[in-house]
Amino acid sequence: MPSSIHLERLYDEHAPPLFAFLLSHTRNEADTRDLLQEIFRKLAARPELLDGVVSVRAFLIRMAHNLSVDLIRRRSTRQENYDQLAGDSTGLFAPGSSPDEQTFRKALSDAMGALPEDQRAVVHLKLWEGLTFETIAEALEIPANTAASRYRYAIDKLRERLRPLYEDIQNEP
Amino acid sequence: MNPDDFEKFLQRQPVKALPKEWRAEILAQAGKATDGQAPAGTDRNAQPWWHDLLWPCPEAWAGLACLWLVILGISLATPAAPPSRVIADLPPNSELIWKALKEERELMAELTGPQPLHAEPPKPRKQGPFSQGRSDTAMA
Repeated sequence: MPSSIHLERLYDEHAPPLFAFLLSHTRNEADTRDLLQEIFRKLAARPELLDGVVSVRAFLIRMAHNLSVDLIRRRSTRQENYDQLAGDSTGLFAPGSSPDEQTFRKALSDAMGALPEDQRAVVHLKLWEGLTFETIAEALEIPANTAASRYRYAIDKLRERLRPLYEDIQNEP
Repeated sequence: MNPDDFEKFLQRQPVKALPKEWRAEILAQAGKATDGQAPAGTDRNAQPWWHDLLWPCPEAWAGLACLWLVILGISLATPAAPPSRVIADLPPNSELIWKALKEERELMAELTGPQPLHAEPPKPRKQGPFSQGRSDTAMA
């Protein structure tokens, strides 16, 4: 049984990136909270899950990914097109300090929501978690080449969609 | 647009922060799990075993079950007549058949006219060697 101090340390170290990843995946704060709670409940109930784990971060991301995929499958029985809904739901980014920043972050959040789930996960882990393709591949249980190609496809889509806003911001004095 | 610049620009957009107030509650629920207690309240992931069976479309399964119940109810409410009674109401089969055959025979007789009771028997063929028969034909 892990001590409460050990669990707190795990939470402080891994909960913030797990929260961002789950939010990117579920696009819903209530679901994100449920899944985060489920992860830490499992870790507390079965501490042996972490025995022999080399990369705790990759292991926890895999756990989060599997739980969120299950959740989305269940939810898809009630929502015909989850990905379309995702574009209109919770924003992924902190509020901007200027209107341009705010507009761009909203557009980026919508563009992320429009990506297929598998591409969105890779982009999130690469850009905002700074993981290598090898670690992403391990976490999502896919080949590293697949992770890299998903990333490239996703970045091309984001670039195409956000080009006007991005260029406006870059051209500002 | 330089691809690297674009990706770096995206990277600089800060993701939403984890709400601080979640920490105490999540850790408290996790602490209950170590005591063997089920988490209270918001856990929507635990599902009964039969949930997976009905998962793809529970409304359709429920509709099908209702339809079967309605059919069963109708079937029980309207008992069918026993087949033996239907058969007993009919006249005996053999009598009907004989009557039909007799009528058919009379009709055939009317259509074809009087027929000889016995056809003329075929003439007996002359017995003998095949070559003799052929010479008889040639002489004729």
